[in-house]
Amino acid sequence: MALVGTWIVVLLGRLVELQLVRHDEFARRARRQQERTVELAPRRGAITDRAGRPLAVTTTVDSVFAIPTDVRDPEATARELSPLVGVPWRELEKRLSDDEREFVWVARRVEEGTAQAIRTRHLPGIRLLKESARRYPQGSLAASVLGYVGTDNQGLAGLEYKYETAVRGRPARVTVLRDAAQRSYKLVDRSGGTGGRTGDEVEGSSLVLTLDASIQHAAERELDAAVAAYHARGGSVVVLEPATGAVLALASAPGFDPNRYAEADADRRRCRPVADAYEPGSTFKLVTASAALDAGIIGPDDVIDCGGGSLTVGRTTIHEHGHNAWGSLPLSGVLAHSSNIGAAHIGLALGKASFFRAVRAFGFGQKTGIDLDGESGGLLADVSSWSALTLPTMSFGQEIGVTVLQMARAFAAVANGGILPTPYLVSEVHDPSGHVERRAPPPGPRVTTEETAREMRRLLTGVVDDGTGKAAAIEGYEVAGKTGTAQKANPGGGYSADRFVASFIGFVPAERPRVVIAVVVDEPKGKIYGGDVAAPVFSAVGAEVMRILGEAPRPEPERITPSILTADLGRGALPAAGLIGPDLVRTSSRVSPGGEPPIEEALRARLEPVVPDLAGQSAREAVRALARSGLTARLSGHGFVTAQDPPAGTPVARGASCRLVLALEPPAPAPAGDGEGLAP
Amino acid sequence: MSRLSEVFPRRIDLKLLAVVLLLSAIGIAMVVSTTAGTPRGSLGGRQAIFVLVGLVGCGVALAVDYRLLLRYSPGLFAVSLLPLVYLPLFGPRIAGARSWLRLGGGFQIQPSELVRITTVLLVAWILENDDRPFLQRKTIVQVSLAVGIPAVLILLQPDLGVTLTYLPFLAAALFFGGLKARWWLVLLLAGAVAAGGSWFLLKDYQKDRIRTFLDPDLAARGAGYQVRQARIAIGSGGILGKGFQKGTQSRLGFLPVRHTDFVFAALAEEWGFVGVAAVITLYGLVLSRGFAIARDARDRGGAMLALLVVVDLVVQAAVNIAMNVGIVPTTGITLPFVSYGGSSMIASWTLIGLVLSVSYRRFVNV
Repeated sequence: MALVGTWIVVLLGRLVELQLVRHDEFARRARRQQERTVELAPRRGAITDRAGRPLAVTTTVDSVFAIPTDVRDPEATARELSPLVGVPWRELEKRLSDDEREFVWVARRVEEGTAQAIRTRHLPGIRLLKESARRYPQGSLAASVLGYVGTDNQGLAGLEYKYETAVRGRPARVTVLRDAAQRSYKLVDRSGGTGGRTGDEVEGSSLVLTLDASIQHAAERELDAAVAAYHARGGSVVVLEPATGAVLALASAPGFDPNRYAEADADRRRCRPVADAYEPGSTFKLVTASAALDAGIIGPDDVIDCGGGSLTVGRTTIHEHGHNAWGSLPLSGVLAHSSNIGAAHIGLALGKASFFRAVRAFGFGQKTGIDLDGESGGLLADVSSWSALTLPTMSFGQEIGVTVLQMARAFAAVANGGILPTPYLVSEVHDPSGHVERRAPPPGPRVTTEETAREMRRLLTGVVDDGTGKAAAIEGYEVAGKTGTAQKANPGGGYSADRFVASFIGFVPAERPRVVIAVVVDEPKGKIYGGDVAAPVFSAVGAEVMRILGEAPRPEPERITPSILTADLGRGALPAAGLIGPDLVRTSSRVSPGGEPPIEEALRARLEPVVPDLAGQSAREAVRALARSGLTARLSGHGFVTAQDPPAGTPVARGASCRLVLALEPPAPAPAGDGEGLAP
Repeated sequence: MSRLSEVFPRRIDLKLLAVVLLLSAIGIAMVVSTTAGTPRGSLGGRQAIFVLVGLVGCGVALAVDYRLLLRYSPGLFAVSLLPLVYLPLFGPRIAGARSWLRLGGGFQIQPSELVRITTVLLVAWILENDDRPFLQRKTIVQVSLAVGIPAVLILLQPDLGVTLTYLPFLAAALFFGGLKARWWLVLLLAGAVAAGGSWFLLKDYQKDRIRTFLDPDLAARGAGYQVRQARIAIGSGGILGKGFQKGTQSRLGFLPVRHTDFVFAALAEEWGFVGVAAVITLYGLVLSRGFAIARDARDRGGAMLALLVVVDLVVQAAVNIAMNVGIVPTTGITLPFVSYGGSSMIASWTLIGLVLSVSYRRFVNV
């Protein structure tokens, strides 16, 4: 009996230890292995444009599931469901018969009609469940900015990714039981009612963007048209509010539909204006000229040595683009005609250190800080590793990698009176409780004096009025900007002869800029010049932006635009009487602020053609070009034009003749375009 | 009470019957709780049938005079050994052991469980014939053979668990038969040597069980898994348990062989300390009723029969519980009347029938 008693005491003692003393420990261990916490994703916050137009919304859709043990007749049920959900009935029957599971999906995210049909049938064991789904109602609009979400509604790219924590909200946790085989699950129903739910989910915050859906749409439409017309590889448009850095549009072509992002390859999903670095070419002369003005190296009215078309640095000779050869040009001419040699001279005059400082100050070689992931900071070698050629060539936009956004921002600094803005996309975060967080970044550093910025704005209007950027003009508004046509670097070194980046970056209205618009087209075919390919996009987008922003056109007397005049004059016809009346004034900005020149003079200036640059053209091309300007040709020799009299740019009377000297030997084919000119 | 007393004039020990019926009912409930909703479906109905068949066996054992059974026990024993000889040689191999005899019609029995009945009868018969205060050497040898032969045959199947259920017979026989101190010393020594030597005879999985008993966290998912999961089940049950059919450890499949070897752990999880203390009390009652019946038995054979039976059943229960709570290594010993299993249920109920028979026939002139 003693033995029995001892044994009972030992057993009971052990049971007391396990069940009473260490109960908590074992209860915890049991829970740890039996319970899983499942997160119920809350409703994702919406993303709207600045006017509240929805760009990304969360909708609820029904998903159909089955509790196999509750399904009375799997075969009949499967046959009834099959046509509704589009799953073969045998496959469905197999799922519905799987009594080992407590839950099987029948169909995820079905159409409302299907859900309704299933709901009304009241099939035993077949239930519906609300799942949330992200929808982008505008389709591909601003897709590369918005990004997209994965199957579990997690942000995978763009703002959806960048603002994941805010937009996602706080999930509710639901405790479910799992079995040892990790197979079946069911809700823990402790102390009734709520199951294992710990707290309700909190809906995600919604974002209000700086983007304007209308402007974004216009930017994408015009960009897509240009990319298609010139069979380009891609393109970017950035529309920036210079005073605040608010991004009104950020277009990347080719684009994709975020509702079906998986079908688009990664190349389409990239936000090119933010992620891609390119060599800017002549648009970068903005930095060169601003820095030189700011440093007082040159004055706005100074004449720049353009070296007669070439500049020799060490054993390398840099040439002007095309076959241009200017002895010297005023600063306005350097910009309007996009003289590379002139820009190089300005850069050399500034010196490495000052120029590098200015380039950094304008935000190059570093990220802009826009609230998007995957931003490139561009490529800017430290001044210590610059070769002798770096300074002169970077002065006209080579040997530096920039993003379109960086360029837009640099132009915005000039438009903004010398203050460099920080671009941003999300202006407000609305949390579900109604609290609104405004997120405008603080004003950036001053990079030029206000005086320099004003001078630059004036100088850049010349590009559109008289220079390479005429096609950027917008009726009723004065436009300032700069063209760029950059050869793309070859992978093996040197520059490609047939791959270009055409760009136009500018702002409007020039005197009091509302927006900076940057247009960059990658590898256009056929036409390659920024002035031909990108400037018209700028003009179309800019006109739309002016209309959308409600910016009033210039007052009545200034309504007549250079583009109309140019177009009419180009056809050799006089403007209609109604348009050129006594109130017609000059449209060029080259007049002094002091007063308006007489109408007659302005009209004459417009009506009198200038001699085009014919160097290198064939006899036939040259004669045709002269005819377009209402001039006649006197030829001597045959072959290609090697000299002309009067020289290019000289104003002459209509009907005047031009003497051309031709030779069989064409001049060495210098690289085309206005943004390059580097000879080997 | 009076009516009942007239029909059964204090002959059948109703207390013992009630206690064992209660244990069987708990067993059915636990088998339902641990097997309902599993792919195989509930085994509760089958367990209930086993109990009914066991009651039939109990009735037969009660109906036949145990003194007759004792007298013919050598013959019964010899016949019952035949399947044990057959099995290791020709038996079907099921789950690695040749323990089962197929009866046709989907039924199969474990002869090793049934041989317990004839062995008990034979040992009691041997002790009946040696009524000195201390057992003779011849008797000790006879008892050892009566227990040893089936034990060795079962070990050959191999079925260590059932083999171990035979050892209480030997110990109880020698203890109640009367043994001098020096014999105990010899036995203890022999037992120690046998235990040490047997380590080398054990299969790898058996060694694993002992190792993991000594250090349960040694193998997280292997042999230590059962012991660990059983402890979690028991410990998480707490004082009052999680409630009938609410034992998450067992119902979610974490607890292995929860309707057989580890049914106690499932019970502890669902019914808590209160439940298991009650079950232990019931086994204690089985033991005390057995002792009372032995004390009142009309002859030495009957007394020995009652003692051997209750000690065997209760030791089995004690070892199974000890294994569940992790204080002895895992062996295949089941919890009598509670664990799922037909052969064990029928054999155990038949043994109880023998005890009731001793009690029933305690008065000489009936």
